[in-house]
Amino acid sequence: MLKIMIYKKPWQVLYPVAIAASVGLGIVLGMQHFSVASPLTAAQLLPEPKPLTGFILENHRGEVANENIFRGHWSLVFFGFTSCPDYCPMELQKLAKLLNMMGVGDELQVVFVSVDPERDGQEKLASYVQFFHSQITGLRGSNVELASFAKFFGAAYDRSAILNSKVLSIPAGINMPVEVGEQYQVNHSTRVFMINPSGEFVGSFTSPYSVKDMLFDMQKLMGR
Amino acid sequence: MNYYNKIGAAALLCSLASYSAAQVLIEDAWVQLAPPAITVNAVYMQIHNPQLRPQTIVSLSADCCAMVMLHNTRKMGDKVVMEHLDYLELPAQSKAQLAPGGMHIMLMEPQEELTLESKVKLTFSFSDGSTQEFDLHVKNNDL
Repeated sequence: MLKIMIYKKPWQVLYPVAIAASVGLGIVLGMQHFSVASPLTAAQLLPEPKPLTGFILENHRGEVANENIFRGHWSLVFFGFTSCPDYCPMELQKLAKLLNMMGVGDELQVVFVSVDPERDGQEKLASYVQFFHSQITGLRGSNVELASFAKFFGAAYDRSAILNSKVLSIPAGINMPVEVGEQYQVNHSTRVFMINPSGEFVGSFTSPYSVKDMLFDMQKLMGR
Repeated sequence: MNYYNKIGAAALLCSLASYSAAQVLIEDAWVQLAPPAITVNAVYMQIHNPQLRPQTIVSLSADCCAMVMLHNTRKMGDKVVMEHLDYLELPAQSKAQLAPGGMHIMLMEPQEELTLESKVKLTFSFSDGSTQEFDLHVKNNDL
């Protein structure tokens, strides 16, 4: 038997319309939100982009490097040191592979920031980054500048040495005591930080991640 | 000593000799090529202890380098730290994986930069005083 809805008051006819409209709007807004956020497989985005300003470092060619080096292209930034025999080469191989798979020329750069300025001179840093890929830029600077730059990203690091049979912990920003010599360890961040073409820090990849996932996410973010 | 006693004594000596001689097997071993001017190289391999008893590697040396150490790369939160290991204990009939991002041998202060043509003789010293040598190649492997 057919049931007919009878509204006591005329405006009550708007109830089902309002409900339908709300549901529809919710679906549209939800789709808009997830079309940006959910397809990323490994990248973690910041709630708001964070403009990168006010730093002066040096690149592996000995040129001044400030925020301008991050403008006009996407960048992936990794902190490490050249005397690292295991983790840094493994990460740089992955990032070099990503560059090859992207095949994008100047649209994406990888930046390796050495947090070990005492051992990583400009020439050493240059030969190190070029060994992995010609599109990797090396950055170095004073301990104070490096600590400030790393802090902006939340990239923790410190160094430790054994001096006179005691473990010496040297926090970020402090020069390595000369008497320590060349044998010491550097503990550093594992994250790869993303900077957009406007020079804004927008998110990061946390280890372990696959090159395949990173490729997918970068292509998505770069609109390819 | 009669004939059978001599045979028995010889068999006992043989078994003692094989018991005291530490022996491990290694697979997929290589020295990772380092970038130019970098004087540390990682060594990766799988070590297999086929014996029915545990064996412990207490020190390492190599003909190429002044220092050889056993290290473990460990992730602590967002940071990666490298730990020095004083020894490597291999339980009976076990395998230990020395792989990128984990445990590895570190060759330091080479007399000459290691190239793809270099050969490295690596020596394990065991807790029972025995030693074992391995010949390794340098490769630029995909880590």
